[in-house]
Amino acid sequence: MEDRKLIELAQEGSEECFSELVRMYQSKVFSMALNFTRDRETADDLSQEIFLKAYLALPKFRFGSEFGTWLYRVALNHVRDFLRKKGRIKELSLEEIGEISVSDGGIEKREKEREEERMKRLLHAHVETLPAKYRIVLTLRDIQGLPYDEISRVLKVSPGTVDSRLHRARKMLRKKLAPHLGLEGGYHALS
Amino acid sequence: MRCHKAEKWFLRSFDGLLDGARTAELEEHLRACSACSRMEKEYRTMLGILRSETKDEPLPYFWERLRSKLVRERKSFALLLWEHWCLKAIPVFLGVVLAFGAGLVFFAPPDQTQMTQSELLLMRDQTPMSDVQSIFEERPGEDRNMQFIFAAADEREPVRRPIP
Repeated sequence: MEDRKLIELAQEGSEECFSELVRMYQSKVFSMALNFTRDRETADDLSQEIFLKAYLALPKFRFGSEFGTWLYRVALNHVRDFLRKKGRIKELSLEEIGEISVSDGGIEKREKEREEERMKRLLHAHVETLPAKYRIVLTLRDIQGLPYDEISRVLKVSPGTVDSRLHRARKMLRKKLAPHLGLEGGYHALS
Repeated sequence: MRCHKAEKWFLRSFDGLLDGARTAELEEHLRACSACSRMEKEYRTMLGILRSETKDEPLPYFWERLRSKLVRERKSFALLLWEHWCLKAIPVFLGVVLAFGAGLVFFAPPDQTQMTQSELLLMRDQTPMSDVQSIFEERPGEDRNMQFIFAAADEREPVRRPIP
């Protein structure tokens, strides 16, 4: 069944159609919540609350945008409110992340994987310290993989604003990570 | 090319937003500038890690858990909706009552009441007592009272006495 028909039936109260929509979007919503909270249980609770909100607001959806865009907007607003209630993100403590050792060509595979994992944790910890508007754009583009125009629709800002915020977010993140990045023989995942 | 511009361009290139001519110009600059080349590697590493995140699945029985919450929410939502519309209806109702009252006060037609004979005489600046003046002057007391009673009865609608 095509999406529009599915949504219309869900608006009329079809539980089966709404469950199909949940199945289609649960991973995306959960991933987004997880990227902001870094805790699976919290992300799961938030995802449930997001779908509840979406269910109650579904009659007001008028197909002015894609359903996915609308759902992302609901999810983002809910996650923002959660983070605001939670309070300011604490400053990064490197002791919590663990040290990153210099990798060289002779390192064993397991040690390399551990380093990659530590690098990921460090990266995400620094992402959490970014100001909210930059963190959101960076998460939507570089983690969720949304295109510029969709981010622009979700956030209701111009593509130019998305571009400038993304640029600033990446610059800020790089500056924070600079001591740990770009080392000889280091981690180069983007080809 | 300035390094500041090069930084902007290679970030765009990671999103596939740079055309062929600019890509060539950027590559030439990266070959010549070691600082930009190092910066480009740092960005590449950083974005590589971010973009390698796999899509996670929520905890098991996501839909089943959500469904029970939906059922609970539907009941409380119906109540909330009723409360919401009642609260909206109160000022509307008050407005309607006020408008109706104002309409009655300012626009209702005046009552067309019939004036009694005495009121008519008074309107004409004549004494209502003129009809009965002769009774006062000529008859004895008891007959006078009877005359007054019958004079008053003339003005009213005749009413039959109820049959016991």
